[in-house]
Amino acid sequence: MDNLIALVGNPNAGKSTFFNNACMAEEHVGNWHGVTIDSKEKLIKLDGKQIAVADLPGAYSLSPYSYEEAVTRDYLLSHKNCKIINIIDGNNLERNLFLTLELIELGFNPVLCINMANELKKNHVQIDIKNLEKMLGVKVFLINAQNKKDCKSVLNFVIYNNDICKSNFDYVKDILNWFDSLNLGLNDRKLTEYQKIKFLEQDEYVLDEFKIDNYENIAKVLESEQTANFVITQ
Amino acid sequence: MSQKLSNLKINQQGKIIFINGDIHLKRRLLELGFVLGENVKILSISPLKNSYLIAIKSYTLALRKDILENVFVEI
Ligand SMILES: Nc1nc2c(ncn2[C@@H]2O[C@H](COP(=O)(O)OP(=O)(O)O)[C@@H](O)[C@H]2O)c(=O)[nH]1
Ligand SMILES: [Mg+2]
Repeated sequence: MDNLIALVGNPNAGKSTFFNNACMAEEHVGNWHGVTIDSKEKLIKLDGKQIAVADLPGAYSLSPYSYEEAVTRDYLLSHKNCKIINIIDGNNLERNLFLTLELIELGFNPVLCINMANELKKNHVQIDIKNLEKMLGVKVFLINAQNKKDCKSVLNFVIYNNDICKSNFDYVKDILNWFDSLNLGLNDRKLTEYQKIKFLEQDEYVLDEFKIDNYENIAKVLESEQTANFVITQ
Repeated sequence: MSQKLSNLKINQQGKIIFINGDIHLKRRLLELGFVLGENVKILSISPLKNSYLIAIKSYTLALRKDILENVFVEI
C-alpha cells in the first residue's frame, strides 16, 4: 500500500476523533485511556486515490511500558514507508511534544497536528506555528479534530507531499557520529539510526533483535566514555 | 543541600539536580518530565504513604515512593 497513513499520539490527544472524521467510521470514541487497544485500519478513497489510515493506540514514547505502546512501536517499525500524522493535545504541548521529538529524532518524519484548536481559542492561547515549524523542521497544522474539513485537509497534505520533514537536529547527528566512533564490534551489522539510538538506550527490543549477548562488554565501553550517560539521559 | 524528593514536605518546592537508577528508570522519568533543573513539589501523599501526587511542569503525576527515592532535589 503506497498510501498508508498512521495516526500517532499520546492517549486522549484526539486520534480516534480525527480517524472517525477523516474516515467517517462509526468507531467508538472514548475519553479515557486505552480505548484504542489494537490498531484499527480503514481504507478510504480521497480524490480518487485509495489510502489506508491506521488509528494506533496511545503512546507516550517508543520505548514501550505498556501493551498499547508496544503495538504502536511495532506497527511503525513494520510499516517502514507509512506516513505519520502525529496528533497532539494543544492544551498539553510540553508533555505531548516529547513523543514528537522522539519521532523526529528516530527519523520517522511526522506531520504534526496540534489538536483542540477550539479550546485554545477559548482560552486565548496562541501558538506560533511558523516558529514551531522552523524549530522542529516539520509541517505543523493547528486543527480541531472534530471538524471534518480540518482532518481532510491534513490527509490531503500528507498524500500529496513526500519527504516533508527537513529535520536534522545537530545533537542527533552528534550522537550518531559518536556511536560510529565507538569500537563496539557492531560495524558489520549495519544498524539503522533508530537501532543505534535505541541501542544506546539499552532498548530490550533492539538488543534482542540483534541477539547481542555480550552487552556487558559493550556496556563497559559505553561507561568508560565519560559522556555516555550524559548524552543518553539528557 | 540535596535530598530525596520523597523527603520533601507537602507543597515544599524542590529543583531536580540528580536522578539515580538504571537507564530504563532514568528514561521513563525523563519521559514523564523529570528533567534536571525542573521544579517539583509533592501535592499529597496516600494514606499508606506509598504513593505521592507530584506537581511537575504543568501537570500532576501519581508515582510510587520507591521511584521518587531516585530523584534528588535541592531546596
Ligand atoms: N474540544 C475538543 N475536544 C476534542 C477534540 N478532538 C478530540 N476531542 C475530545 O478529546 C477526547 C479524546 O479524544 P480521542 O479521539 O478519543 O483521543 P485518542 O485517545 O487520541 O484516540 C474525546 O472526548 C474527544 O471528544 C477537539 O479538537 N476539540
Ligand atoms: Mg483512541
